[in-house]
Amino acid sequence: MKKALFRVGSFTLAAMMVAVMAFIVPQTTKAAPGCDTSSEICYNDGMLEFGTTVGNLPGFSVPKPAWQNPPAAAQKPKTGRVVTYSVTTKGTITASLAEFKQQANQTLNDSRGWSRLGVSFSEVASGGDFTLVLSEASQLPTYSDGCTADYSCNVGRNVIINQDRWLGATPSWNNAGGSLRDYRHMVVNHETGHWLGHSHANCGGPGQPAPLMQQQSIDLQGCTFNPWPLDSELTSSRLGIS
Amino acid sequence: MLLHPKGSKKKLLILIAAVVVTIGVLVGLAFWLKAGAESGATSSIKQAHADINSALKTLNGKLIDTKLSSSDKVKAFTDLEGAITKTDSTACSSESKNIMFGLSNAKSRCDDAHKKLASIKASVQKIENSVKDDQTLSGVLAPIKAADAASPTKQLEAWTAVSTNVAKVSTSSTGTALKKQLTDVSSAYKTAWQELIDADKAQNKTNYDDAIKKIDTAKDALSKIATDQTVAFKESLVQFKKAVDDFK
Repeated sequence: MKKALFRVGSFTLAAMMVAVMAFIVPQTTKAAPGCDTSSEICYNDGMLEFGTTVGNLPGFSVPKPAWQNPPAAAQKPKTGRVVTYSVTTKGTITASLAEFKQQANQTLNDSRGWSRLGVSFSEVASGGDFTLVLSEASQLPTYSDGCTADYSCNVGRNVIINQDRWLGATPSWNNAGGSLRDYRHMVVNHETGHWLGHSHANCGGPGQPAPLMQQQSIDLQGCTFNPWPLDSELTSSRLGIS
Repeated sequence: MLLHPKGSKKKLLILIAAVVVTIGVLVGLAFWLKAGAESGATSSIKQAHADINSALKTLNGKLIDTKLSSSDKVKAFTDLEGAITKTDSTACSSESKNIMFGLSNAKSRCDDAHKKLASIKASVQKIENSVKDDQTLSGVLAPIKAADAASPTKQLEAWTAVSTNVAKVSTSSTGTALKKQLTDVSSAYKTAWQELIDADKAQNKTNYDDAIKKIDTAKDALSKIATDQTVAFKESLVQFKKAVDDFK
């Protein structure tokens, strides 16, 4: 009995010492998982200051000057409505999530984008009106049979951006000289456009700016790049804006 | 010299026996010294492994310490290089004094160990240079990190400052390419922001849109520099691990 009590007491004392040590030992970050500290240098990406600095540079959307504002008819009156969305990931993500969040928010609230519906977009920690997903390409088909690993997709409340496209646009886009940032604007706006209630559209004629809802990732059909909704696309059945 | 036939035969036998014994002793001594050199080299190289493992643990302990400054982290790499140099100078040092060292396997094993330690040290130097360059070039971007750079004019001023900063800093030979890329990007940003400001004044939509595209292109280029740098750095870590594994 005495021995049992002694063992319990010793165990409790040891547990308390471990707990106290946890507070005393200086706080450190963890080495990269799977890194053998005796045979590797455990210097993870986050420790590289240049990459971290570039990833965290304050976002700055070029303001649209007053002289370039579209005619009043093409701008919906401000409703004050805030569309909320949360951001999540699926599969293995190698892209910078911080950059994804920042650029997606910039795109959604850009004065050339869906904010022209008279709404603003605000990221929330969870839930929201829709979910913006950065997904590993191979995970796209898990959302729906209609989604492929090649492109981005919208299924129900999920606006899913294909990581491969986010990082490298598409061959047809790149071959035609489109910039990656414009592709990112386009893909976020296009998939959000589906969520807002839009179906696909076709090029109105050679040389014209492509409708945002045209499948520009696949073929421009003679149109020019356009990452932003045309005046004629400023509607949303989901938000009841016509 | 004339010897009595019987006495001379006896003496000859004694002489031959003495020579045989002496040769036996010398050969035995040589084998003993050779074995000593080889076992000494084995334990010395084993100790060198342990020293490198221990030095690496010390380095990693410092790298994950959030309280350690950037310059202290660079110093941690310098310390690791010092530890490798020390290990290299002590490895096989006493064994090399052994008279049989050159005739044993110990020499080739010790030479191999020194060569591999040199390779590990070169890998560390490369990583240390990359870390230094990384910190230097990150510092160059300080004006952009400033919160008040939120207008085209402020952006132009900030990128002009970056251009000036990047010209002033020095990097390692491997960081030169990175510095050149950053110089080009900062210059591209400056030009694009200037063109945007000019187009805004002139209310020229085409030029304004072109300038926005140039700004986006410069931003993509900046992201690419960071990505390329990360990839190159990871590769140097892989090379380091390979050098350490090779030493095992």
